[in-house]
Amino acid sequence: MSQGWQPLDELFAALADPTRRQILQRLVHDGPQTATQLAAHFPLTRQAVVKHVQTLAAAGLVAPTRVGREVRYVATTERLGEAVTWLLDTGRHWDRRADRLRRRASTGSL
Amino acid sequence: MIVSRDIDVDLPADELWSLIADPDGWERWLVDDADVAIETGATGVVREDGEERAVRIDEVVDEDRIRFEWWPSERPGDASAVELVVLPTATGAVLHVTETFPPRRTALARAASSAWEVRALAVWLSAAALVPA
Repeated sequence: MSQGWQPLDELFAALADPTRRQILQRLVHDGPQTATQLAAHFPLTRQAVVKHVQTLAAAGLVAPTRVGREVRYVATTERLGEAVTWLLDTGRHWDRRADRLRRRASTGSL
Repeated sequence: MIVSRDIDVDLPADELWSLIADPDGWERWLVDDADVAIETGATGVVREDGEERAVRIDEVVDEDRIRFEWWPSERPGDASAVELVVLPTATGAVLHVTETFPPRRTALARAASSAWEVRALAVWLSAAALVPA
């Protein structure tokens, strides 16, 4: 979480759209692809795909790489990992606090 | 993103309240060390596992709930909002806990954040299952 809250807000906004989630999943499953290759799998124009991919890139979920004259997009899921890490760490902290609270209550050692 | 827990305790609600409305009470279960007055608008610090966190108390509703924000002292951009609500039950009380990152205050925003959380987890788990470590 060291990058602060705003980048994570962008991440969640990017994932709010089902088409962008499908694009991300396709990049994860099938590897790097160009916008033209991606557009073949969706009822979208290449231009619309580029807009979605740029939103994903701004959220840190996708990175463009140039191969010759082509731009290919690569999924980068580290940001999602950060979010999941926060959820798991915070949950573990509250589980431990809950155990302490129940122990205090049951032993009457208030 | 939201983490929530319902902690059922074998205590009357007023005794549970004493554990969340007083820094000595916090030190019995919430953190290792609490140096903050539990009053609306108060600021201070707590320590847990050797880490110092700054705290700002946003709301105290007597015998009912506390809301505060806290963050690692060296990373003020990582603030999260915590709400502790005491709910009496037939046999004792339940402490309803929510911690929200980033801090959000409206029910609508909380519901939206929760939905994103599920989607983020689904995509991440899908990715984690398919990408070799």
